Amino acid sequence: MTWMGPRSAVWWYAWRSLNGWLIATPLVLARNWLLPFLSPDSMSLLRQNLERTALGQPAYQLDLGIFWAMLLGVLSLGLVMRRGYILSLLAGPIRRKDVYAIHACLTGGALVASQLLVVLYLCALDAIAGMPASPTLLVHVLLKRLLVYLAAWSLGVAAGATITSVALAYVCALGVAGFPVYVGTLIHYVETKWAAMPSMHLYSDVIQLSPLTLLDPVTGASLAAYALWFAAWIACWLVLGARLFERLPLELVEETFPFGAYRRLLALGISLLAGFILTTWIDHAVNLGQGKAAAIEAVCVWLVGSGAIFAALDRAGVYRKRRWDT
Amino acid sequence: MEAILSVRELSKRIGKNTALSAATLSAGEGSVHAVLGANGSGKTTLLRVLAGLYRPDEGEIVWKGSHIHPWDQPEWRAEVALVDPVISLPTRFHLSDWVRYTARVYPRFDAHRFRGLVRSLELPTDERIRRFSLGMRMQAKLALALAMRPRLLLLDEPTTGLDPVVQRQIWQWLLGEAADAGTTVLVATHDLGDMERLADSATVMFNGRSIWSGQLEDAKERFVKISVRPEGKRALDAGGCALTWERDSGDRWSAMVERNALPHLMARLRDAGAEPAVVQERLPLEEWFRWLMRKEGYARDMDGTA
Repeated sequence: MTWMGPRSAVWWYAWRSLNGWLIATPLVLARNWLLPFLSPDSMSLLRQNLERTALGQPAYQLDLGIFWAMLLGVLSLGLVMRRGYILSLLAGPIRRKDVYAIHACLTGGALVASQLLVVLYLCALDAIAGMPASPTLLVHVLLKRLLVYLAAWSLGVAAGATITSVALAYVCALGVAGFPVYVGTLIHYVETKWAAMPSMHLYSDVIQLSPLTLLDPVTGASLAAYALWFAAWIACWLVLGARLFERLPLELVEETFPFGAYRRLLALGISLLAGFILTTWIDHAVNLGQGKAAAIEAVCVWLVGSGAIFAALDRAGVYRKRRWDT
Repeated sequence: MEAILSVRELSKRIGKNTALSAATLSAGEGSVHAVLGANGSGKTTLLRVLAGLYRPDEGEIVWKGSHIHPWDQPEWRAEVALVDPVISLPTRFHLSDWVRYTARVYPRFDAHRFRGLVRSLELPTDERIRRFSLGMRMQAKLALALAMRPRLLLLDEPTTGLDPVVQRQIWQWLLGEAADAGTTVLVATHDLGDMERLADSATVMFNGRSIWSGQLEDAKERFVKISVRPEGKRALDAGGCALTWERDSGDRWSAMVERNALPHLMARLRDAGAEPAVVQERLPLEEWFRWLMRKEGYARDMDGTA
């Protein structure tokens, strides 16, 4: 057996660990377009679907592809982080940055290749159906989705590389991805209290910063701005994930959160969200009313409620439990 | 024997606990060095630091006269093999898959040797590792480690789950590896009987510190075990000559004493009119180890009811 070098071994290991997930990716992304000719009026249905796709979905409609992309990101290193495997992988001449880069490249590459396959497939379907949708529009929409998928995936990679439980890494990634949605919702709520006629533009502009929402309807200068935002988002999460994975204390991989700061961040996220739900519930129960004073009251209730929940969570420390405690 | 590996004042905190505090050891080339100690004394942490898995907070590691930093020296880690019961092989892989992986990672991996070891251990390479028993997994890890032809072989409780026949076989291989290939073998274990027969030198750890380090022969030479009747025990107790006491069969008591104190001790027995002590030349390593632990204040109530 000739020596191929540690990098080729990591490629091989990553492929063997993830191949099922990678092979499933194009099928998941093209899930609505598989076997389109089975129904009796398949051709008219296909034409309608192609037209609808080319027009794009509204931002708030959930897209399974985003959740799959995030899962793929989390699994990139999440499967390796399972107890013992990360130690067996790193107890040798393998560099951590190679492990991170190779696993991320494999899943990211599979995601891009899968979406490009979907693009080709839809263009072929469009041609068979007599071009009901403009191929340019189809490609445009699907590439915008790819950008959002990559943003969700990059966050998943960073979470999976630094949180040792796959399930909690996924929950945390979802929580962080939704951050612009919480901010948009809060702004909208406070605006509604302050002035009876809030601006919907600001709300929709803010929530579209989240990789959980689609960019289908966005065009022109706004699209360029969002593309820049997501490019920066992807780069930041990948670099942050790499830096933290490089410093990951292997003596703490038995803990769900080897980096203690993550525990606090999770508690903070939960308490801010729960505080908001509590505020709307109190508002509903006692009717805080409208106007500047009501808006300030609502914000105060939110801050106090969130603070109390954060303190309780931090004290209880339920999320500090070791993964393998039985 | 000149030291090829020196560990000096190594410290490592894990969370709020101090896993290593000023751990020190020296091991010669082609020697078997035992790392002994109570549970939680830092043996595993020490081996994982040497394998480059953990980054120490302080201290230095010297290999062949040069300072090394295993955690950021991949080329060093290619020279080291670690066998640890907690570090598991990926269970969804076949053993043959993992061999392919290991062969790509370790430049000196000897596939021919691995096949020979596996044949001798009767391990099925075409089975998924998840179907292996605990002992079979350990055997597979040991065979892989030996086939890597490492310069430093780190073994943490290597006989976990192995039957006595396989244990003997593995120890013979390890001795052969040290003698023939010049591999330095560090073994962290509680199996003092095996270490007494196999190890050249040892380090005893307690609470992350090295409390003794040196050639095992020196320790065995320094102390002897004697056996006396109750009147002899009383005479020796009065002089504080014995380091440990333990009840033997019948009415006899045995003690661990310093060899150079033997003439003085015999004179005491004679003066007290007691029967002379029966001297047992080879002190079992276990007694010496228990004495070291007791000196550190680590002892257990024998009847277990207190």
